[in-house]
Amino acid sequence: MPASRLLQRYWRSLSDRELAATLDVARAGLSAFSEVTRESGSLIQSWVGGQAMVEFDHYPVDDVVDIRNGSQFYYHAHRSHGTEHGHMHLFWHASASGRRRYVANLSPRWGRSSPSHLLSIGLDNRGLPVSLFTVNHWVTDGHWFNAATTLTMVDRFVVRDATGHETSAAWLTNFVRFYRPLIDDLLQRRDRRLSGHKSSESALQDRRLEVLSERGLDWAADLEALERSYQGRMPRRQPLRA
Amino acid sequence: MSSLSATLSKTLASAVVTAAALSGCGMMCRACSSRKCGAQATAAKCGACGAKCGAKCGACKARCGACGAKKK
Repeated sequence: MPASRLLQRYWRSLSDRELAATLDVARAGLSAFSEVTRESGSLIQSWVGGQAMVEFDHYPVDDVVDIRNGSQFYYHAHRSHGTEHGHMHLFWHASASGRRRYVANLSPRWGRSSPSHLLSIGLDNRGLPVSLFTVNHWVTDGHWFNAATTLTMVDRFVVRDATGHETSAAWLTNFVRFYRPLIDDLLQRRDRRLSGHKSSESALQDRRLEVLSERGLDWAADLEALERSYQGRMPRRQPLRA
Repeated sequence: MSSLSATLSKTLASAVVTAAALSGCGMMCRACSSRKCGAQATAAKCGACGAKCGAKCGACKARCGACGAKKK
């Protein structure tokens, strides 16, 4: 699969400084991915821990939840779809108005908030991310927000406090940053698909509508394109010495 | 090949391949099927032991993963 054209267009629009920051994010994500693969065998194994996986079960069993940042994710498998082995679901805890309401020392900690779905990431059997997709409301429940609001939550999605899963959390946080332009596009396509239905209320509960938007990924090609993009600016950034 | 994609390729060459997931309960209970991929915080509870059921349901006589109870 070739590198994403949308990403390449986006990178061309960035300043040198912004592009360098994107490269840093890409490096940080890759470094965490390599580390978790070296330590656990793969991203998937870092959550599964050598157990035999069972369809629909959550890995890790209680999900990874960063209480302070209101971010949550888990991995599971239940569908046969291309090279996908399973997928991650990413959530952000928001109130119905789309705000974050963290109340320390209160149980449950998030009064009136609910883990609202942001997106899913498909992984192959080695843990390599191969797709991004969104799902309908009935699939995950939680509050439902339009693309613009959901994207602000994606921007706030950070998993730092994740005992035992720090490295996979670091990969995920950077991976989401790296693919933000594609996630934006994915969410907009999700909303456009729903807007084609007469009643959005009934569409959100329509069992025939499960995956609303999807995009295949070639992470290696995207990393290569980013480096090429960056190196293409090198002469401008660092003039050769006489 | 760039240094980043070469690193990724090298990492993947040593990655452990995870076997496909074993079949779980094919008939999710009403509570679970309405939010089949929900976060664990919203997962329905087993009627017998109160544990989060995830996709394991009592409707089809599957055992609850936590308590092993069967629905009567």
